[in-house]
Order: sequence, then structure tokens, then C-alpha cells
Amino acid sequence: MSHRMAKVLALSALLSSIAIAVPIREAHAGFYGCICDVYVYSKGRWMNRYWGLECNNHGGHGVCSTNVDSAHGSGCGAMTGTISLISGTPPYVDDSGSLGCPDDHYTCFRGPSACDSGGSWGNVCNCDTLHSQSYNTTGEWYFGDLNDSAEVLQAFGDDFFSYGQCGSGSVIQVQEAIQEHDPVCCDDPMGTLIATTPTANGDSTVEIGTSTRNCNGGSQSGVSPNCGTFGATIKIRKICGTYYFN
Amino acid sequence: MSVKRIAGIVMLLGLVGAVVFLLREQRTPAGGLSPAATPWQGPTEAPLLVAAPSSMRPRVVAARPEGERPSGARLVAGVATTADPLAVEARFDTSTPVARPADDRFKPLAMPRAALEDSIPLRERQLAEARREEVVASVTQRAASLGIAVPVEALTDLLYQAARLELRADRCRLAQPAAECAPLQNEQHAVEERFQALAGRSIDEFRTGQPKRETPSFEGGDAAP
Repeated sequence: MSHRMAKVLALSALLSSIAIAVPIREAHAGFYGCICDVYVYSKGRWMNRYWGLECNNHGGHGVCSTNVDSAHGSGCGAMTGTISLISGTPPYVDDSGSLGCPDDHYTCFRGPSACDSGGSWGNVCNCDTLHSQSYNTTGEWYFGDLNDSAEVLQAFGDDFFSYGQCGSGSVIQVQEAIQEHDPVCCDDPMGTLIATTPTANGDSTVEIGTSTRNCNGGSQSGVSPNCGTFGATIKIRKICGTYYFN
Repeated sequence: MSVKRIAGIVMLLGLVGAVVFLLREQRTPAGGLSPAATPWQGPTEAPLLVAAPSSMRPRVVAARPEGERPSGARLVAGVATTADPLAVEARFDTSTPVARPADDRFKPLAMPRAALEDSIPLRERQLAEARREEVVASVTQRAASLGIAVPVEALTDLLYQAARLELRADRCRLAQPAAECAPLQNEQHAVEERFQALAGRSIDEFRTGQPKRETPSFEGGDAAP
């Protein structure tokens, strides 16, 4: 083999290697991602009458199963909690964030009652049959169920990421863990409201009715069938776009 | 060295290079980014782009709608601030495979100032009215349920301090710029650290009785169509 021929052979080998590598690289180099801005709203919140929160320092009194000792109970309380936002393709979590609600009688689970400076719930200790009343729906110790229709803009999620194109299986999930907050200690968890919506290119809004219940019969709620139940409509506005990452 | 051998080595190197490149481009199964992934540079508002994937920059496949996109700025407590480019980079830190911390990107759109203001006198009253013996009873119960065997009085003292500081910090934030409240925040951190050292849990975990989930997960629930 001549010297020149060998050079040509080497060069063609190099070029063929590149020719093989480039198309393969093109097929595997990048990936799609779905990025969303998310606005989370709460409205149509409701709570049934079988809650014993804010009663006598919340301590083991068989709430709503028998009766409750109202000593030092206020008959009115505001809820706090944590709002979480998760994106990805279940079970894979690609992005997440959480927000501890301030004790402002507004952000996490605003109520309709006027007691406790407003935004609170007057039925949280209504199992106290000595104090409960049925004539003032916005006052403390109210005996019945309550609901609050006001729409509350709770949070904004900036650029939440999911692998894959929007609409190809990825979702956005809102989790709202609601609890009653004590001034010193200790909080009573009520339950977690969960709303899930698929990602989609563009600007879209969904409203999801969600509820949960607590039948622990201890410091928070009654036992079945008098379970403490609460819920809300969680509204999610998502502004999403599919991006290609190299 | 013969020319044939040189040609063989060149061909081999080309193939090895191609294999190494492909291995680096693989996506990690847990949802993280591969080390070779290009950090996101921020979306361009260009219209639909269907060019062949030869560019090394990310591009829009389906453009976001006009309007609410907070391009270049983000809202913090109702005040527009310039986006921190480092924060954008950090979101795509390749060393963090799953569930990047994102608290700074998830927040109330605007602090409900009036609501917070209204709640403070009530919270102060509740704190003043809280009977210590009842709080101690609650703390005892919570410590037992969490398997914490430390003096309950000490825990209670720290919880009282934390509650008072929380109120003072909220008052401070309402009255003056956040920077002015830094000393209070330092005090809060100090109390938090003392509690953590004593109880082995954060104050928040103790109050709620729930361990903080380091890795969030999807839960069943109500889904939209």
C-alpha cells in the first residue's frame, strides 16, 4: 500500500466515524421540558360541624363522640398550614416547592366567621353542647356547617419544570395541608387537600373540588359517622410552554 | 509506526469519542439532569420554531402566550425584583438529582398585609391567655408521641420564645423594610438552633407533629380532566 493511499484511508476512517457519531448524537443530545408558571387559588371552602379544634387546648376529650369540655376553649379558630406545588410525571418528581402559610386568617384556609377578627371558623368547637348556638352563623360556638365562598389567591409558582413536552403525561399537583395553629404549641393537623392537573401548552385554568376527612375521635374530630370533613375548590391557572434543551 | 496502524488508531478514537459522547448525554432515571445537559438560559419569546435540532441553545417549541409571563422579573411579596441569574442556574444544578429546593420560587403573590395586620392583636391576646400548665401538657403529649425524652420545661420555654419572636418579627416586617428586621431573624435562628439541638427536630416539626418531608411525592387525590 502506498503512503498516499494510507493517508486517504485514515482520513476516510475519521470522516466515517464522524458521520456515524453525528446522527446518533442528534437523536440523543437533547430533551424536552415543560415549564409552567402556576397561580394557585382557593375558593368555596367548607367545614362540617364535627370538628373539635380550638377546644380546651385540643386535648383528648372524645370530641363530638360524646361531648367536649369547653374550659378555655374559644369556640372560634383560624387555620394555617402548608401549600406545596409539585411537577413531574408521577411517580417522578421533577420540581417542587412549598409555602408555610402565615397566621393571617387568609392564605391557607380562610373562613367565613366574624369572630377572631374575621377569616376564621366559628364551628371548630361546636361539639361543646353547653356553649353551642344555632342563631349566629358568623359567631363563635356556631353549631352547624360553614362555608366561605371568597376566592383567595394563595400563591404563585415561578417556572416549574417537568421532563417531556407539555401534555405528554406530566402533571402539576397542589397539596394543601391544613391545620389549626396554636399560639405556642401544638398544632392540630386536619388533613391534606390535593388537586392534580395535567400540563398543557398555553394558558389554561382548572377548578378542582377536593375534600378530606378526619375520624380520629381524639383531639381534632369525631369518630365515624361524625367525621370532621372539610374541603375547597382549588383553582389552578397554569401558563406552560414546551422547551427543547440541548 | 506503519500508516495502517495510524489509520486504525484514528478510526478507533473516533468510535470511542462517539460512545463517550452518547453516554454523557443519557438522562438519569430518577429525573435529574445529566452532567452534560446545558443549563436553561431562560425562555425566548420567539414563535414556534421547528428547525432541525442542531443549535446548542434551548429554543421554544411551543411559545408561551403573551401576557402574564414574568420575563426578567419576579414578584416577591408584591414587589417586582430583578431575577437573580444565579438562582436560575441553581435550579438546574446537575448535582441535585431530584426535587430541587424551590421555596424561593413559590410564594404568596402579594402578602395580605391587611389580614396579617388584623391578626396580630388577636395572636398577641391568645399568646397572653395561653396557660402555661396547659401548654406544658400539650408539649408533654407531643414529645411522647414523637419519642423525645428531654425536659419538657426547657422545650416549653423555647416554644414560648419562638412564638414571641414570631409575633415581633411580623410586627417589624409590617412597620419597616425587611432589612431592618434582620436582628430579630437572627434571634429566631438562634432559638431554632437551640431547639433543634435539644429535641433533634425543628420547632415546626414539633408543633405540627409531622416530620418535614425532604423529598416531596405525588399523592392520590382529585384530578382535573
